[in-house]
Amino acid sequence: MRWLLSRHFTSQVTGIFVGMLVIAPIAVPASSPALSLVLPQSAQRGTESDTTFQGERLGDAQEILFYEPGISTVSLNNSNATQLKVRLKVEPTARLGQHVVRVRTAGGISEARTLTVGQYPIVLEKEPNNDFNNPQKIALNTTVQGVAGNEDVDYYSIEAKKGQRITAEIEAMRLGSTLVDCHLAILDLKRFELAACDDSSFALQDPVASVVAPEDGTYLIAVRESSYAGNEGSRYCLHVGEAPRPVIAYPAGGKAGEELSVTFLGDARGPIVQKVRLPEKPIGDFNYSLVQDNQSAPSPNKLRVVAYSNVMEVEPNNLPAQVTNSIPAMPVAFNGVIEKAGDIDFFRFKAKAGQKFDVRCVARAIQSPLDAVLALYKGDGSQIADNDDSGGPDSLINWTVPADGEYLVSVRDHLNKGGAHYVYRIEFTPVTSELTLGIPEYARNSQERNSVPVPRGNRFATLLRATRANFSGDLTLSAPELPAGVTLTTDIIAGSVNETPVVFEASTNAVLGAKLVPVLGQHASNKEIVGGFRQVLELIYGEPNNTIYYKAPVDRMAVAVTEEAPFKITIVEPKAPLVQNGSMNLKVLAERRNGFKGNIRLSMLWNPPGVGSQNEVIIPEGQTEAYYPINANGDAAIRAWKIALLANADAGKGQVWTSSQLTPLTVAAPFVAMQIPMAAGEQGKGVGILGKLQQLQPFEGEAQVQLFGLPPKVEIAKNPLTITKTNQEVLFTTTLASDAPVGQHKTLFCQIIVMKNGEPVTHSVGGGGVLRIDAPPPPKANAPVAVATPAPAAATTPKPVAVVAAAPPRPLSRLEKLRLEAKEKAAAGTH
Amino acid sequence: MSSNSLIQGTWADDPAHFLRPRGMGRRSFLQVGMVAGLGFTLGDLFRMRAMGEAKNYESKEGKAKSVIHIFLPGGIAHQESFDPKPYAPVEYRGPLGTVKTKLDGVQFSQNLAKTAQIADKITVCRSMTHGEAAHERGTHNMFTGYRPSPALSYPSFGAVVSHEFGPRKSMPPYVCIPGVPNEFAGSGYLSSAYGPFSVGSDPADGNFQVKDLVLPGGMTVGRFEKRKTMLQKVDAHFKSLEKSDALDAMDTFYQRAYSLISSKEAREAFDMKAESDKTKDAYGRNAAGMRMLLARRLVEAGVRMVSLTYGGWDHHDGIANAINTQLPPFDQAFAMLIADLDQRGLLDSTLVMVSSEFGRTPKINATGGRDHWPKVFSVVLAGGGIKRGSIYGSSDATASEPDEHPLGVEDLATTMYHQMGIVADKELMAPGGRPIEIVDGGKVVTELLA
Repeated sequence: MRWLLSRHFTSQVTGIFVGMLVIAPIAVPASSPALSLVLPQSAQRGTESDTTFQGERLGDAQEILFYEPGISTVSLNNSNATQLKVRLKVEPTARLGQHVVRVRTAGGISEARTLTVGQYPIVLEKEPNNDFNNPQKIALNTTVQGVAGNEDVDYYSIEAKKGQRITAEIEAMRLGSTLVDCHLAILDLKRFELAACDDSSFALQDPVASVVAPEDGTYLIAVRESSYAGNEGSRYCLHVGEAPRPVIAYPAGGKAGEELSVTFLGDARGPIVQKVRLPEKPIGDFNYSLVQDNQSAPSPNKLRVVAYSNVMEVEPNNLPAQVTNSIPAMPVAFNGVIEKAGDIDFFRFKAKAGQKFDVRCVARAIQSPLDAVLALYKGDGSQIADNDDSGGPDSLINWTVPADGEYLVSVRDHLNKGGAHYVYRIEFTPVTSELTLGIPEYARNSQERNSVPVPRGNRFATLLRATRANFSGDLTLSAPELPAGVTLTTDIIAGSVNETPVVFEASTNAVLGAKLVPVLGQHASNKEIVGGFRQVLELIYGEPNNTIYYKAPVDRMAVAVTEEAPFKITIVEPKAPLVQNGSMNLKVLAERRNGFKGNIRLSMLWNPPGVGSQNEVIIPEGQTEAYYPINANGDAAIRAWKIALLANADAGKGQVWTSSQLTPLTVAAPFVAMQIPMAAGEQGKGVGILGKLQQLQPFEGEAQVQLFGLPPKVEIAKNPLTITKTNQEVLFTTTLASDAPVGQHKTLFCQIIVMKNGEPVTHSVGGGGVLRIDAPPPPKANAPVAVATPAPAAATTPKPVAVVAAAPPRPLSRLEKLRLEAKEKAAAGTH
Repeated sequence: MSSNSLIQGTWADDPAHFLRPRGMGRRSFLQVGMVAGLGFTLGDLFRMRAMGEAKNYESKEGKAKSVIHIFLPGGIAHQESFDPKPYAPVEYRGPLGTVKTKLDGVQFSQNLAKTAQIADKITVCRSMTHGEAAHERGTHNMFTGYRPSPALSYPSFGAVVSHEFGPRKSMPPYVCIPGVPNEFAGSGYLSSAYGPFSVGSDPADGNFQVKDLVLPGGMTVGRFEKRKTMLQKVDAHFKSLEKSDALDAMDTFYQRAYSLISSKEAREAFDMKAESDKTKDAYGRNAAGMRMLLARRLVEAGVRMVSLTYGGWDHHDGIANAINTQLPPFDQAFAMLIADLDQRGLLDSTLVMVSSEFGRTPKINATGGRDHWPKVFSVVLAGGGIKRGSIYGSSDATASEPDEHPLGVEDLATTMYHQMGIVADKELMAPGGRPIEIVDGGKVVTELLA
């Protein structure tokens, strides 16, 4: 479903502020409410009706937020924390179909749910209605709110005159609350099915059926879960009336601003031709509700609005040779119908070298049963490219025209099916730069943290993710219509990444309230590339593997000023850089308010590329500071980034979220690198472990070098050692116990701490260093007793080495030691 | 030891799989051939020849008289259990700390403090590796010693042990607690007579009772005996009409069931009430504790292979909290099990194996969890002739790959079988008269052995 909104509407605040009704002081700071269900899920336009918003923490509800105009709140009774009673007013002009709503409380913003607007009065299903002979009687032109339970068939009876149209449409999946697959049938009193539907290309799992009454009399509508496996949550809205119900439009779209003559197909009374005024801007998807005899189709048909004109098919066009009319210039949208099984439609057109098009066959996207297969050919009929499903099940080819000339495009069904409703459009959209911004999913399959509740006098951070198509580069961000007292701090989204943390801050005297605000992105150097916010609310998941069955996109971010949080955190801005292969502990200060003592959980909102951080750090009960460990790998991008930490705590009424300020973090090249050549020695002897330093950038004063990862039973004389910017080596002197574990110990590494601006810059170096511990060789029977091998320098009894630089003789490498040993053995005549 | 009541045939001989067609089957026509005079069908002849050529070794009880296989389904993170990397970068090492163990320089993750105190009795293999990152495939590996094959269903360790040794002291040879954990814990191509005995309820439940050990309500021993006699008469009639291994297999089930119901020892073995409160507290009154305690009782009573599962370790999200909740009961129970077995003098004759289908990714993911990682993970072996107080193999600095002594599934299985006295190179007969090694190409890892 597309929420069609002009710029004029997007800036309009559609919620009604009723905060003055809530004056009871709240003892514990509240957190965002949870909204699980809106019941009944439908409302009739042009009326007022009572609705219950079910959820948690709704006791301090102040406002219902609507993303579109046409619905408003008349009154709101929040005396119950789990059941919010709302009287809604739906304007006669309100758009039919699903409307996205959120609840704003003093403590936050709920997840988004949907409410459907219909044209008929609403009645509730009354069980028992399972008996064909004793159905629930309803008037024609009624919406029933019902439940298709387990092994439950709901029968409704209506009276109709001969020739009257009976249209029945189910909204179940489209209610966006639970996975329910309904089956629908219209029967006569002899139990003959006049029309039946389980699934439809028009509304996927939701069935629609429409007949013209053959006689005056009683007709029954039967609704059930398609496998009789519903439950008490399997809710549906059944619209029964005289409304037209076309299932597809032909042509299904046209050029922005034009008045298009459209034939609506599939209605029980046959095709309906109407003029449709298309929106002024090429907005892509467009929902159009057909009206006939003052009755609107229960839900809209899908059309497309593009920047270029239509070309209609002319049969015969099943062979390239049959198509003589060549379209002189692109882009256009070809329109046609795959009318019968085996049909294939060709179009001929001219294009210029270098033109770039997204060639998309739009079929499923306009509710057509066609599973399109698209192919492009040269003018002589030789094929260039083809595609079946890249536009998911529709076809998409990204095509650059190779040379000036004539080309052909063809479309057919994947299984060579066809029929009167197999409508398609082939749109040649010139490739342009496109930018969309959104909040990435914070927790798997959840709407958690997808809105922005900012506590007064505090901060709230979220990630903004940019989706760039057909361009690259830095992006700047802004949110121009924030609630009063709320400011946004952002960094650019660097060209090398697609996300950045943004921090919202509310002043201490900001008034509680909320707005649905646009978020804008702009290319840093090319001002023509702009983009807005788009959030796809995933409302129904199902098998397999949490497939999304129903979603609703919205185009604005929900931002609220909420009551004070009981804690505020601040990162102490680091004065030293984080170096590649280095680590850092970010100091975090917490200001506790109103006697709040509990744990505060910290988590990093975003790590710059190559930077890693601990998943969570807790500021324990009663404490006010913590260190948050982060590190950078050897390939971390050298750049000044901005980061933010999230903080959350349960202050007695759910989780309260705040954030740190946006904090600069510089990733820099290391000052020094190091290698540890293999060291080896026998049990019971001394071994020197050498570190070969590589000075990369001069540093002030002394640095500490500490060796880690020694196996057990190895004693080290002095650790850490100190170096300066001139040292080329460092030597650790160790003693191996007589039972030190024999073998290669590959766990050695060093930490070098260089001081910069009074703060430590920690380098992890020498990783993969090896200490080999050997067992002493068995004594040789005829070995000369007195001749002892003169031990090389590093293998003598260890002496603590204070400052290595001043200590000749130079320590020998493993290779040098082996050479020396071999030489000595040769000299001693042994072998 | 081999029981005469066991059928010796193949999967196809098992009535649970299918019954032979009445009259002349397609295969029986071969009898018309030249060997008809000898009373064989050609099929019989080929099968006998295959059996003659099959690698056959007699299984004799080894050092490990029993095995307790503790399987942690879902894939427990090696980093948060037996192979922590306290020096790795923060996104690798994860949020949990470590504890020192009784072994010098060896650390376990912080929730294994009690196991750390019995580290001198166990061997931790930190270099277990295979290539199957899907739950069911990894599980198949760790229950059968084989990679999964679409062509053949392999028998589990327990089924092989059951096949090779049969029951002891009227106890079922292979028992699963609390139930058969997955489809690969069954008998595979072997007759289902070698399948596991499923306890069928959780010993941690207060009113824990094993269904098949008591007669159904209202049934007296006398009535039961009468029914048994009737059944035997019917069976004898069929046997007189047709000679078939299938009937023997059916008989095996009944014999097993009768012996269980009539055996006081068996009933007692499953009776958790016989354990003192003190012991139960020591193991922990939870799923881990009670399952391991029951496992010890069963091993004492003569069960050869106990396979038990505990918890769910598929921690894609929030691994720290999940591990902090689930691992301490395991730690307490496992440490107690090893200490208890040791104190009772049973550890040297009981091999305890802790495994999981795979480990978890080196890096913590965006939701604070770790994903599937079969390249390296840890298994623990103890008792039954396994070295005490040893670490076998190692993973690299970020627990991403084996560094030293990679341990494959085949070698682990072969070593386990070896300790039980089964030569894993032995071939068993699969359907179609195909001889299949118990484990294909594994070797005994002598460094693991005491």
